[in-house]
Formats: sequence, C-alpha cells, structure tokens
Amino acid sequence: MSYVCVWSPGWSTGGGPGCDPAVLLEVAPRVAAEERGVIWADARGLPAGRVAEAVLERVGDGSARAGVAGVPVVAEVAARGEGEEGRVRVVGAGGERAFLATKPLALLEPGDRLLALLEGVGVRLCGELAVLEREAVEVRFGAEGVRLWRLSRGDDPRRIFAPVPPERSHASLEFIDYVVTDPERLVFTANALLGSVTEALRRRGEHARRLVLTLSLANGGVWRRTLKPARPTASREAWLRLVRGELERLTLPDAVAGLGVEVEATEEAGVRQGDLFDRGFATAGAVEAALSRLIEGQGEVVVEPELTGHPLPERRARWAAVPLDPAVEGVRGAGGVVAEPRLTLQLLSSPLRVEVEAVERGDHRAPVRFRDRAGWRRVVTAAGPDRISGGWWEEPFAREYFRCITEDGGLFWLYRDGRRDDWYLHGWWD
Amino acid sequence: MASSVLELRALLERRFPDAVPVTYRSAGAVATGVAALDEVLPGGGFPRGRLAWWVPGGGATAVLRAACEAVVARGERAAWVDGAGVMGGEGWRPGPLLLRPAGGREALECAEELLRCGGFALVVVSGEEVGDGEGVRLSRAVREGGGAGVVLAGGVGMAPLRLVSRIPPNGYRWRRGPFGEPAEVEAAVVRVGVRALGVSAETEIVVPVVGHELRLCLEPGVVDRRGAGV
Repeated sequence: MSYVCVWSPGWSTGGGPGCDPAVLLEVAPRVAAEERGVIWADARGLPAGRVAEAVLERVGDGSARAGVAGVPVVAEVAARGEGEEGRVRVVGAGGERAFLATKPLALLEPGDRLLALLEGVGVRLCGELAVLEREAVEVRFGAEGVRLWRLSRGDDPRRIFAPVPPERSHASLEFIDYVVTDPERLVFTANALLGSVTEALRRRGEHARRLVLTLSLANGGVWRRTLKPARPTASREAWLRLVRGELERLTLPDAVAGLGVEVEATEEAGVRQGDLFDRGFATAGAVEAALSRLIEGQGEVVVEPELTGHPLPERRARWAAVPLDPAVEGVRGAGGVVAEPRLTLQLLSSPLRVEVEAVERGDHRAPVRFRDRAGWRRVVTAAGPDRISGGWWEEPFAREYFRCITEDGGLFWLYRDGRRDDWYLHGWWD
Repeated sequence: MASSVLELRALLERRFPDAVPVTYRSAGAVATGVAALDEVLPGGGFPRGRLAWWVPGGGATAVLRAACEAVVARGERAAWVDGAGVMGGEGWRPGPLLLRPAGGREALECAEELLRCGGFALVVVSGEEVGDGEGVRLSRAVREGGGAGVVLAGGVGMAPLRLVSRIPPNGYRWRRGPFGEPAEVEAAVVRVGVRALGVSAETEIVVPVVGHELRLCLEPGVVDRRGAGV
C-alpha cells in the first residue's frame, strides 16, 4: 500500500487545492499535484492511513477525501467514491479488483462516446467490464476500450513517482588545519576513503565502472580526474592502484586541502556460471586480476591481429585490443591434441636497412651476402624476386623481395627498394 | 647415513628448487603436442613450475606457437609475450593470448604477472634479452604460479631445461620453378637439442613453411609488369 490520493469535489471544477502542495512534503517524501484536481502523496514504507490523515489535515478542505491503495487508479477511485464513510478510504492489497467491481465506470473517466457505447450494451460498472474477454473488448471498443478494461481490473501501469536512484557511493576528507604536499600521504588518505566506498559497493552488490578523484587545492582550485579500470570492480586494491598511479604522475599548482572519491557509474556485480568441464574456470579470477593489472599499467597489451589487405606487408595487419572477458574465459578442450608447427613470417614493423652485396642475375640483382646487427651473413640460396609496386597517388613504392637462406640456416626476407636502390631486411621465417 | 642423505636432498629441494634436476620433479609437464619433441623432453613436456630456456636458431617460434595452440586445444590457457613486436599477423591463429607490450621491461613485467597468477599452463616470452636478475624473478614467478614458462632468447640463461634449435642450410625443401630454379620453400627440418641435468637429446621435426602472399597488382584488371625499377 503506497499511494495516497486526495481529491475534493470543489477541485474538479477548476479551483484546485487551496494549499501549497509543498506543505505536504512535511508528511510525505514525495508529492505530486495534477491539473485535474488530484493530489498524490508517496507513502511507500510509511503508515499510509496516517499519512493520508495528515495530508487531509494540511489541505484544509473539509470536503476533501483520501484514498489509499497500492494501485493508483484504485486509490483515486477510493478518493472520488461517494457515499463512503469517513474521509480516508483504505483498500487493502489484493482487494483492489473487488473494490472496483461495484464502482461506476464513469469514475475511471472514459471518453463520453466510449461511456455511451458501454452503457448501450449494459456495461455500467467496473466489474461488468472486467469480466469480459480482452479480445471481445478490443474488437468492439478498440484500444481505448482495452485501456479502460485494464483499469477496471485494477491494472494501472502509471508510475506516479519514478523510482529514486540510489545515492552514488562517495567519501571525502578535508584537511582542516594543514595542507598536504606529499603524494604518499594522499595515497594513505585515498586508501581509507576507497575502503568505505568499495564496502558500500559490495553491500549493494555493485561494481564501479568509473570513479572521480577530486583534489581541493589550497588556492581554492579543484583538480578532478575520472578513473576507469580495465573492467568494473569493487576491489579496493584495484582502485588504489589506479589512484596511486594517477597521484604519482600528478603535478599540482598548490598544496592539497581536501580529497574526495565518488563513484560515477556502476553496474550490477555479475557472477559467472561455473562450468565443470572448463579447466580454466577455477583460475579465471586470478587471470582476470593479472590482465587487469597489466592493462591498467601498460594500456591495451592483449591484442589480436586484424588483417587489412594493404599491399605493403608491414601494414597488412592492425593490432586490435582483445576485450577482457573473452581473454579470461577458459575453453573446453580435448586430450591428445597434436600440434602442427609451421614456419611463419616474423615481420619487422619498420624494415631494417642493411648493407647487401648483390650480383647480376637475369633482369635483376640477387643478394649474395648482407650485414645486419649480427654481422655479415652469406646467402646460399636467394629465391625471387617477387615484385610489388603501387601507391602512386600517395606514397609510391616499388620493391623486389627475395627469400634468402643463409649459411647458418636462417630464412630471411630481404627487399630492394627500386626507387632508392637501398636494401632492407623485412623479416625472417621462424 | 642413507636417511641423512635423503634429508639433505629434501632440504636442498626446499631451499633451492631450481637447482634440482627436472628429472627429479613430479609436478607434471605441459606437453607441446609435438610428439618428436615430447619424447625427448624430460617428463614429456615443459616442466610445470620451472623455467625453460630456448635459444632460437630457426623453428623455435613455430614449435612454441604450436605448443601454445595445443595447450589451448586441451582446455588450458597459454600466452605469448611478444617483446620485440615481430609476430606476423597473418601467421597468428586465435587461441592463445598474444601480448605486445611497448618495450623489453614491460614484456618481462607481463611475463612475470602471467606466470605468477597461476592461470596459464604455458607462457612464452620472446624477443627480449633476459638477464640473470630477471631470470631469477621469472623463475620465482613460474614456481609460484605452477605453470610452465619458456624464455625464447639468446645467451646463457639460468634455467634447469635448455633447448636450442637450428635449421641446417640444406634442411629446406623447395618447390622448383619451370626452369629448375628454387621457387617456393615448402618445408624445413628443425633440429632441436634438449639439455638438462642428466638429459642430452636431439630430435628432428619437419615443419611446413607458410609463404607470405604478395599482392602484386593494386588495380584489379591491370597487370603490374613494370618491375621494381621506377
């Protein structure tokens, strides 16, 4: 039982309640006044009957009546109902439909045309409409008829008062008699504040996605940073690590006179369903924590290739960050797996310019030895060239690639830049 | 006398776990999935809780990446820390986690964190020179985590299991062109040597070579026959 509806016959004619609805906030946490002459009070969690009496007392209108119910339409009908004894009519939970059944449909304020149609077929009371089938009502009276049918059954989807969002967890501390310049002392304070914030998060079963760190400066200024972990968490250690990292990089124009942390965004703490056949599930938490630490400290280091199809080999793959969840997830595997090693190309992101001795061979020059960081390497076999060229409209290139086997058994990928006649080491097979 | 020797051995194992030969350990091994290599590795794979050191010389990346894929296929996690950032995108197959940190120090941090967390059966760190101090840190981390760690780097590392691989120059099999010239490398023979206290073995693995497809012409329908000389 949560809604208190107050109505007076005089208000419906345009006069409205004589009192300021704000006065009613003394007895109810939330109040709403409608233009059609109805006042609503939120009595959830309160003794609704007494709230209704207190509201009537402050309204100061002797003809005003109050209805109390868990469904708005029932509370309103109870307030408007004639011939009821007393000024406050309370409809108990579960009795809404029975209460409405004997009330005239006109109390639900249907349109005149619909009311005339219903009266034409002998439906005058809410109970007479409520017992009909929905399809029958819809076919004969349309969408407006269905809306009225739902109200007559005590089904009112209105939300008079929107749910109150819970207060965001926060904690702060002002240094009254002194200021702080030592980052370690700030970290010490932040640790204590984060303790209470993360405890509040855990009590609510939430994880924080973002947290705002605010420093009040001695000169009156405010320094503010939004911190974001690799994944939402209520872990004090994880947040302290982020705060410490931020404070260690910090350069402030003045000493700090206060420090505050406030959760900016949260999400429900989820618990993944375990899988007996997932051998990685037991260690998923530890892996998640380790990867979170690495991502927070070094950025997106867990990557996977995205192939671009670019003609230049060094631009053919782009490295995209892997989301944490798939990275942490274990996989079901089968025993007795046979590995299939393959020599694949290890590619330098920037080709390394090398010194090359080459000899004429047909229409090209083939390398016979080259010198990289390890010294001179003699080439015993050079297959190629594989020629690529293009990029005429932006960055022209023309290359002759050779696969070279050296005397120590390495398989290297060299190319000659045809535009500059330079040689480069681009990679090797390993 | 015999009991005191056993006690001393137990004490040494507790105090200096890395000094104990891998053949003594019973913590299990992470099989590479490459039968020829598993046969010569003590315990049938990389020892859990221990660091292995692989000196690259050809084929090491291929075998280790296949081992990571086999670990994932068996339902465990594997990670590759690419310290030099040379892993080619076209050759990477999904499954193991790939980490590309910004530098060498960051790569070692990644490896240490992953080894210590205990959620990875196999962690490979490549492309970064690992000094003695860093080797000790990695050894401790892998012991705490209980997985297997492999450092793919040159030099002489502090590890109870060492491997070295090479491909002999005549170990490549070529597909010949119409005039008999070598046109495409089809396969290579990788020789892997395994060294541990009381173990010295060598094996050969034939590994196919994945070519790198070059897009020889940019404009569809226009054949690019101009060569590289512009």
